[in-house]
Amino acid sequence: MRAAPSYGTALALLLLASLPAAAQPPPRGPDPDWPCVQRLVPRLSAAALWPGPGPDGDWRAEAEVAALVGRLAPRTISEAEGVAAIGSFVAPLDAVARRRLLPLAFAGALEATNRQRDALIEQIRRFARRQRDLAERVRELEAELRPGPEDPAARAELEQRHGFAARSFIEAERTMRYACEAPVRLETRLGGYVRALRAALPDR
Amino acid sequence: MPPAMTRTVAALALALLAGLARAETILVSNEKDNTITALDGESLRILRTVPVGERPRGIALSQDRRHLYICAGDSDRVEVLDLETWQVVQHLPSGPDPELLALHPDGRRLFVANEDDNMVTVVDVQRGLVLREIPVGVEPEGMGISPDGRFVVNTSETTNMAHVIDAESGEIVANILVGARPRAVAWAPDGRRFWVSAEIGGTLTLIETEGWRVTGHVEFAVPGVPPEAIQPVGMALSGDGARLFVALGPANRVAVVDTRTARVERYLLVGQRVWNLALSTDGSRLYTTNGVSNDLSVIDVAAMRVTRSVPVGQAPWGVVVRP
Repeated sequence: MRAAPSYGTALALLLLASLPAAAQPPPRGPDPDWPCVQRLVPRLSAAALWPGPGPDGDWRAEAEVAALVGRLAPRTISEAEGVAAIGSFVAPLDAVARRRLLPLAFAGALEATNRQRDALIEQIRRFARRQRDLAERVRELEAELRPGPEDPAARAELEQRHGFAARSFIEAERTMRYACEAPVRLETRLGGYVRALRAALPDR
Repeated sequence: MPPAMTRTVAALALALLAGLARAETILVSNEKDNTITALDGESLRILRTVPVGERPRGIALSQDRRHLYICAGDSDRVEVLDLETWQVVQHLPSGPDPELLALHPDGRRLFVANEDDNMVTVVDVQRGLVLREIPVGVEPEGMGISPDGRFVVNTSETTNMAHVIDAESGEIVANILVGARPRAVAWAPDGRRFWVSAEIGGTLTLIETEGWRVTGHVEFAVPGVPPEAIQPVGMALSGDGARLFVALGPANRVAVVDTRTARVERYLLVGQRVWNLALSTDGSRLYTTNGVSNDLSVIDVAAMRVTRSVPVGQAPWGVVVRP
């Protein structure tokens, strides 16, 4: 029985020592609501991925292209599966059809990726705001602990609340690092699609 | 030996010699895989993938080219990889979270930027000792040593400054305000000026050593690409100093800058989130690490064309060419 409280106190002290730095990350760039290391690029642009003039026309108007985008886009589809779908789409097309349809397929894949990315970015922002509130809570508890209640029971209770809030914060930081990777994974997959589409374009 | 066969043998020998002459190796650090990828500079085939410490980013060759110094940021150390045996043979003390490093022309002093504790650590690579710790701005990042070895320039990401350090005394001789979140430093071969890239500022600042004055800027604009995607990071200067190649991050472009006019000659479309660049020994090819598309882009410098994309590890970051 004696070991447990001393372990709890040690953990609380450890967290107390390690937290101020973690709870107040330096401002990373011009957007305080964006917690990820890399600066946010709100939308992926066609020009950052596709050489030459952008695609001309509406990809939805081409039923085959719209069907291909529907196969590529769901988040459960891996890059390899999507690239395979592009392969089957491209195979029967002649050079003229490829020149016309592949840029449209790119436009569709880009639009779908941006839509999914928007949703992820909004989730990350919400998460960051929650995390900021949690950091504020930890700091308040730390301020209460510093002079410290005289009553040992009250102090133990406060330490426990502080320890719990601090652990939640640290766990959420880990989740956040993972969450920050989700839009990057979408971009990587889109890059794979772009390479497959460009490789199938006939030389001019 | 019949003459035809003699000719064949001679041709083979010549081809072999030519191959040997170009037998350089491209070394890439993969930030998420915790590996170094070694590629053959001729065939661009992967020779091997070597596990190293956590989050390897900045890399540099030893003076005799036998070893690679690797900033293993999350392992809080610099690792020394033997490029003959492909084993990590030593851990150098580095201070916490080393990100980038530069070897002094004396081949002995390694200057390491520690992102977490606002220090530049000077390490003696022969004795494996920390010689000195130099306090700089918040989140030190880029490192560039003047060709004569007198000055070390370090950039600090959050303070937005280039700190000029006297390599002998360790004293800071100048603090120069540059663009937001400065990253890399590139010195002109004559040692009279250097460029600093600013990832958030989206520009380069040119600084002259005489009086440590800002004497120019380079700005970038890619049609159709929003300005916030233009994030200048790594730089490489051509051997004659006439052209500066600049990696523009999520714009997925390398800018080719004429250093005389400070104008961008052209933008080349490479892989996604281009971080760093290195020229082949003969200057004919430029290699870029692309952190999101997980590949290396190969640029034919004379033709100014991107000729290949070579998949490497996850989140490739640093690149050096070993002659």
